[in-house]
Parts: sequence; structure tokens; C-alpha cells
Amino acid sequence: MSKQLYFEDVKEGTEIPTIIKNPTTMQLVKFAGASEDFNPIHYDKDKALADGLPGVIAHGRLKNAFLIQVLTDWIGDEGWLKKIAIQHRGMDQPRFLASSKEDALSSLHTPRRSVSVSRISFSSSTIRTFYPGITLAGTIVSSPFHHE
Amino acid sequence: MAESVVTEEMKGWLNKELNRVEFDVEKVLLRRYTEAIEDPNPRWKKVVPPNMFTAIFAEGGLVQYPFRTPPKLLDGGGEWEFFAEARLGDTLTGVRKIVEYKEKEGKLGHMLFVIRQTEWTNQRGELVARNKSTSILY
Repeated sequence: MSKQLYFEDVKEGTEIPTIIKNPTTMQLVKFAGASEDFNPIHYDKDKALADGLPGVIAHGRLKNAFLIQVLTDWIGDEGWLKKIAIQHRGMDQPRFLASSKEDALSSLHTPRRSVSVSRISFSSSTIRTFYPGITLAGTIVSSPFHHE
Repeated sequence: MAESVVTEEMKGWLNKELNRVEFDVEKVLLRRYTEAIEDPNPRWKKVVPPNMFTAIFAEGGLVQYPFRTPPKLLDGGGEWEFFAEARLGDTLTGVRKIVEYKEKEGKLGHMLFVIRQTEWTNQRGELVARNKSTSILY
């Protein structure tokens, strides 16, 4: 996949490469099947509307997967994700992604040393097209290094 | 502060096994999952991607408690730690416990925070991953 990241490659302010996701309703159904999360708000529009939602919404756990893929793609096959914390701050609809913001706190192990990523934000607020994607972008904003 | 909703019965469940789940890491499981999340990294044909612990192996908001709880639920987020690689052919066992209750008055009224821990071990008894998740019940 991507080239191997090393400790020396990471500095405060280093941008984590963005990945684009297109969560269609089909992806939500596939994810429901794979994860056995059959909450109908993820595939039954009538049920979602009856619950006061704007339509079917993406699984929080699917967004967890996206956030972690950002990191695993970035750190490469020799890297090790050590710890991650995720909170969901908003909801996302497939195809019509309104505002959402999520934070992930994590620490990773690159070959040789650990890197602590203090904030990766996930914002889809700027994307409203017929085939929208979720843009995931990460920036290391503070004290990224701690030594093992 | 309104009266606590944490009953003696609920306190009795602290640090006790709430439930236990087992997964055999099979080819089809890895393929269905990586296809669903659209992560084409070939590494995941043999290795469990860490996000399987935050997706398939997470119970989300659907956890059932053996006692009565306030009816509405919000996902309060979670954290995961990874200790060892899980691979094709492994059997993973997750043991779930309630480790803490917290209560707070907030916009939604009296809120109960239930903090659960799940520890995943492999067939050799090695700790693979640990998760702590919070549900907000109100």
C-alpha cells in the first residue's frame, strides 16, 4: 500500500493524508451485514424518519472504521496503532452529508518510536454533492512525541 | 443532584462478567468486513485490521443490561488499546464488564453514564485488545 512511515518523518504540524469515502446506502447495508448491526435507522428510511432523523444515517462504527483506516494507511504495514479514542459529534447521511465532526485521539507506534496524535478531525461539512464523500483529514496539533 | 438511579442490583454487577463473545477469525469474515468498509489493503487478508475491534467486535448502543435502565441512550464514545496482532485462524474471546457508573445533571436531565470494558484474548490467552465505552442513559 502506502510507503512506510518512520518516526523521523513525523513532526508537529505534519498532515495525515486524506482519504475519501463514499458511503452510499449500499455500503451501509453491507456494513450492517458484516457488523451484524441491524438497527433499522441505518437502512429503513421510514423508521429513521419516524424516529425524527433526517433519513437513514451512517453507523457510528462505520465512521470508526474510516477514522482508523486513515491511520493504518498512514503508518504503513510496519506501524502499530496502539490506542485510539473516538467520540461522535454528529450524524452523517449517505449521499447528503450534512455537518459532522468527530475527534479521535490516538497513539501509534511507528518503527522505532511512538507518536501521539492528539486530534484527528473528521468533517464532512463542506461536501454536498450528488456523490459526496467523507473527507478525513488529520493534523497533529500538539506535542506529538512521547518516547517509549 | 437528583436521587441516584444506581441501585444495589446495578452495583452488584460492577466488575462481573456481563457477557462473553467468541469469534473465529475466518477468511470470509475478513473479506466481508474489508469489502464493507472498502479498505483494499492486502495485509487484511491475514491480519485483523484494528478497526474490526471498533466495528464488528463492538456492541455499539445495542448492549443489553440485566437490569432496568433509563430508556433513552446516547453513545458516549469509546477508547481502544491494541496489544498484540490478531491473525487469520485465531479465536478471539471478548469478556465484557461494567466497570463504573457516573451520574450527572445536564441538558437532558439526570444522566447515567455506564462505562463498560471489554478485553479480547486469543486462543493462547494473550491479551489482544481492550476497549472502554460509555453509554449515556437518560
